[in-house]
Amino acid sequence: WKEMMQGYKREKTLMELIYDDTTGTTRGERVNESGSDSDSESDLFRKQEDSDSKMDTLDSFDRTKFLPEVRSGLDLDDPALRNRFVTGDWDA
Amino acid sequence: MPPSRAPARFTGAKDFRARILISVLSGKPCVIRDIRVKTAARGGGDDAVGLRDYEVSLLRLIDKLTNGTRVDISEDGTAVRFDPGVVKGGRALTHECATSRGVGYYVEPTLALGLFAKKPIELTLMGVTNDDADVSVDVFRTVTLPMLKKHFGVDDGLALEVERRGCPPNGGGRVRLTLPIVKTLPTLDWCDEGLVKRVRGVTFTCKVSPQNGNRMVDAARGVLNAFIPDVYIFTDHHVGPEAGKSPGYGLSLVAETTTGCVLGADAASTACASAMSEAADLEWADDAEARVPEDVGRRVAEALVAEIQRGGVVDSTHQSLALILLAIGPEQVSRIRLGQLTPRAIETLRALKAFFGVTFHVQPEPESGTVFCSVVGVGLKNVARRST
Repeated sequence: WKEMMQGYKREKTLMELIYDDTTGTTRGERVNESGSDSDSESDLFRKQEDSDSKMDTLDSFDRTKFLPEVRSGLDLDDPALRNRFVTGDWDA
Repeated sequence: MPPSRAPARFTGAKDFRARILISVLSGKPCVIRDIRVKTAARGGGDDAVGLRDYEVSLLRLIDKLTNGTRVDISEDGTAVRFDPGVVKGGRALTHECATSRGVGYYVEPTLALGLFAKKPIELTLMGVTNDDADVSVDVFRTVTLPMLKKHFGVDDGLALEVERRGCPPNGGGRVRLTLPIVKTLPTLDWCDEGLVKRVRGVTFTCKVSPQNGNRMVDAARGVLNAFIPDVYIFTDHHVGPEAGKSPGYGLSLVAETTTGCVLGADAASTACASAMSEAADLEWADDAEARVPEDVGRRVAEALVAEIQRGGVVDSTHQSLALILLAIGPEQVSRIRLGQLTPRAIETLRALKAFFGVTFHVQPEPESGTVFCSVVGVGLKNVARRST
């Protein structure tokens, strides 16, 4: 049940998701900063991280519009969607 | 707030714009390292490494708007040290934007900076006015500016005038942006998005048949009329010098709600060069060549409906800007309701924490899929403006 609790917790707090990641990366940076770049231990650590898909987002394209992503979330048949308009079906 | 001079450190090119912008607003220097080192290592070649032309162009623009900004870029362009100066603003400024990026890329940070400048800004930007990656000038005019007027209490003198259109790849557009200055921003309690009462829009056609505009309108109506009858879309045809240097067309739509929120969506027929090279794996960059007006129309209309479905008082495009404006507001609790956060908004939240130490309280609301964000602002004041 402990695992379940942890999983639940992680899902629950969006704040942790947003902010914990930053402290993680800045700390990682500091380590990299203080030690010289050829520090074998931190190099090894970073290499492992690199292979992750996480690194893909590091240089991700800085754009304002997320048209494909937004559209992919579209569900035209959702009855709740109609009620977002003044002309919605209020009986439904 | 006395600025602490210890720089904020970042790695990677992501969210470059917001980091630089918040750096200027907070007066705190920043260091960005390893810009696109990984991209190059993954096979992008040597050209892929370092800053892009549009990012350098943004830094130049900031340099024009400020006094005492120092920028050091390393030889290979993978590291930047940015020491912000004072935003001075002024009239009759011009900036030639890199055509690999839309004007929206430059307009957005200028907007937030301009409010806290010493003098009102009047800036002419030249470049690409409509593309796929950045907020287009139409949405900026019909969504961003009304949002500022209505909800952030920015008084008159706020305008964006499109003198010429410019489509990618060659651009040739020209817009004039005028911004007033404010003393402070108001506290905001902005949680009710209301119901959509009407949809407006505008299409533009440059150096192509004006019929393309009607085709986009028809396709967009096909999607929207299932939801709401009050849809009116203008068609705007440009010829000669005011059409810019490249052919193209596009559509932008705006949904107004009963509580005065505006949500926008737009797209253009061609994608900008930077989007093609850097985000080529995305759908919109793929088929950019073979996009017909019906496609553009349907796509934008669906995106607008999707924005409405996501909920929140601003669309996904404006989340980042709204969060920044909230964070620099007065030292009272401001609340805002957003749709599902975009990756960019999340990065903005992180950058705001790094520079201002401001942490948003983010609370998801599962049943509507929206997110409540509340924050105590840092109380940024513009000392140049006398209170009246």
